[in-house]
Amino acid sequence: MMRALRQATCVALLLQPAGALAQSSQFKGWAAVSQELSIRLAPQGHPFDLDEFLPSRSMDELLGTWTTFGTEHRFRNGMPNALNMTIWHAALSGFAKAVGQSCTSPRLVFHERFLTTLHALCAWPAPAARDEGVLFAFWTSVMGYNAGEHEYAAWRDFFLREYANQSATETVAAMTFAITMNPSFLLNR
Amino acid sequence: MAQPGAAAAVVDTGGVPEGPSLWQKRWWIDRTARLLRGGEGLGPEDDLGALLPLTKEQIARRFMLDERFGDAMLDFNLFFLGFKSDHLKSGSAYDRTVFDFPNAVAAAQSLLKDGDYFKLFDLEGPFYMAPLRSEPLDEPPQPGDEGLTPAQLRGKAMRESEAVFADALAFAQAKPAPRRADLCKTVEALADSGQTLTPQLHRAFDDAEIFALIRGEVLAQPLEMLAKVAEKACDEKTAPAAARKSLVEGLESALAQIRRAFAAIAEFEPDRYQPKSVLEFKRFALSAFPTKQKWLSFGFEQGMALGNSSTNFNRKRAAYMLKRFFCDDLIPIGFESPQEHVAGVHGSQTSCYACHHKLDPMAGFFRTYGAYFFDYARSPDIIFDDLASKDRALYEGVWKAASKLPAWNIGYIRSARFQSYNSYGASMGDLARILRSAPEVKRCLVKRLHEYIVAEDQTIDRSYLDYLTREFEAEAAANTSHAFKSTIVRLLQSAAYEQRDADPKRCYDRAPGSLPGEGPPCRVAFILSKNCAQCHNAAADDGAARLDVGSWILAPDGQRRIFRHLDDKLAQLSARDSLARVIERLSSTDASMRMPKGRVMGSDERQELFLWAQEELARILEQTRP
Repeated sequence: MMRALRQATCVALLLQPAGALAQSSQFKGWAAVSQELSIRLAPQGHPFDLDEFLPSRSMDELLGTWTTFGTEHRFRNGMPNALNMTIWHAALSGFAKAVGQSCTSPRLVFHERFLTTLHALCAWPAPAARDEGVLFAFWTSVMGYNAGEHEYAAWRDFFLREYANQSATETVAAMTFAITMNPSFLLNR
Repeated sequence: MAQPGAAAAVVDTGGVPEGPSLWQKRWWIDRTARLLRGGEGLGPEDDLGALLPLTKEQIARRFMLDERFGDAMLDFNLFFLGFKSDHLKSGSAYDRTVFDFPNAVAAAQSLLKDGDYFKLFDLEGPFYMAPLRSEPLDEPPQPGDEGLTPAQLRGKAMRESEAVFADALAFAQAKPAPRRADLCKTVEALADSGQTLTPQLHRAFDDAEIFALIRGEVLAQPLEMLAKVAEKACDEKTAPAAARKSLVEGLESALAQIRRAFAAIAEFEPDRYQPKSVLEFKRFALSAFPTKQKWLSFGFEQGMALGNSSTNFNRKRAAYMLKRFFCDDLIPIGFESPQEHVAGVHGSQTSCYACHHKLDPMAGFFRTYGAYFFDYARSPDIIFDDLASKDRALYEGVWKAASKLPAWNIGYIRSARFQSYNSYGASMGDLARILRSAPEVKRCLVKRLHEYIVAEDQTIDRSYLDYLTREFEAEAAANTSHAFKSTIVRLLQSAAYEQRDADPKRCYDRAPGSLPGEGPPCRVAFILSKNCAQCHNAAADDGAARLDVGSWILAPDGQRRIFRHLDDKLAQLSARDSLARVIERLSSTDASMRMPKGRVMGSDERQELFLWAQEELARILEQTRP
């Protein structure tokens, strides 16, 4: 599992936008990322409680937040740094692991349509799971259209090549982690 | 390119062939959905295929019909006011803090009903009480309160308070009638019991709720009224029968006030009231509060954030108003020397007066508001957030004008030198009227909307901002909501919004008809052309021609670009010297030096040009440091 996560992180870093001005961008914040994942993957009206994946529940503020009290609000802690990257890594690897483990025992309650895609992907490395339609559906389910097409292609090719013989649990977790650690997913723009 | 499998695709592509423009449009739709539906982007329930053939305007207008658009606009309004949060809702319930900004709520509701969006600028109006707390308080329960739910505790505390008044009334109405002295003693004791009754009632409420009880003077005013009645009725000169009648009527009135207020508060028990959309936000019946006043839009959180100490003279509140409603960050760039001598604390210190000439008159609008924006207009003293108090009349005297007109030195000051440019007033109503009519406020609103929709740090060409503002103003004359929605649509169709990885320093949009040129950077080009180019252009036939603000040529060092800017010997100045002169002329307090000469330049434009020149100069100095 550790190998998978390390490799997936490498994919995420390699997929940074070319000529990126991403350094001027900020994280969307934990609240926005949680909401995006819930809207895309959870049943309508039943958002995930992703706080359980944070190393500590109060750490959400370190991932970018508008919320404060007693002063005017401005977005704080949104600039990527070593500390908040570590927290993002810990939280999203936990989430990715839970998605991967859902191939064998459900950890999260998913929307029916995402579940259909996930079940298809959980046949990995069988050919049915490597189908272009399944991979595309999984990518868009988690990422939406935040990233460009070339990033989808890079992600797909990497997993088809490097995870050809890995288990479904490990692969799905690594795939999820690679998408959610992608700057196009985490940053405002 | 990937071809999604029809069976497994979570987002239905609608059978439309893939391609970069289609992918881009999906991204645009997802981003726009997130923006206009309170953070909720496309999900499995959305029919993307049905949206793809529509134009961007049609898609945006469709999202605006969604009830979640109300959340998006409430979120923007909070952003405009400087109090945006991560969540408007936890689950399906709105966070209680969003109820704290009544002008934001009223404007969002109006926008959904195509009403008056400029309610955002109304500083007095309705009160949207939040559903009362359903989680227990942090403090341990008092003896006798153990095991009670928050609603049960509120009921108990309100009944206890009511009983104190009811008992006094029953005593007053008893047969045979009590002696006047006994009745007076009872009423006077009740009127004097605020220090006991208040904490007894407040123990069942949290800070934000107590804030409402205090501002509504739920206990204070009935008790104050009883004190006045008792003072008069218990005077020996008043006939006993008349005194008794007066005291009974006073008690009846106080009890009725308390009951009315408690009944109105009970309407907000969470089992009765839990709005699911912005339109369901319910107004509190302010007539049920003894004060019966319009509600000041500065609520509990702003009361905390914008405290006013006894030495601050409301300047923090004034700075907030200038920053949030006028986009004036009070950069100290000097000011035009007033034509008359300036008195006051900062009058002789020009560096201070650069801000205070705007700050202090704006602060005057808040002159009767003490701690937590409590209005002391009816009181001889005013109490501040540092718990100090002052004689109110003396305190207000700070803002009395030396001249007859205006009577108060209170207003929005555009020029310290030319009074005719300024907007004066005295009350919150006057300030709201200034906000509704000032062009700077509309421009600020559009600027903030650009920041909210595109990105906070994205540079905007000032001619484009002016164009957006002009269009907004023209449409707002007929309907402010339509105008606001149209401005949103324009921004959603802008080139900057289309960028996935935008360069924050680049201007992606220009006003229709303006051509990209080789001129100065877009951040300041329009400001220069609007305020400086009339004199400082190549065709000028006087000394002003030595600076051409429309040019952008290679500096003598052959590396940087700068204005064509000649010295006395008609030699081109270095970039450093040219910028230093620009800064000096922008910030000079000497009317013969200060630019633009004899004219008033908008505060935000002077600020932007000054900051740009400073940043450029700092960059040059940094690069040339040995």
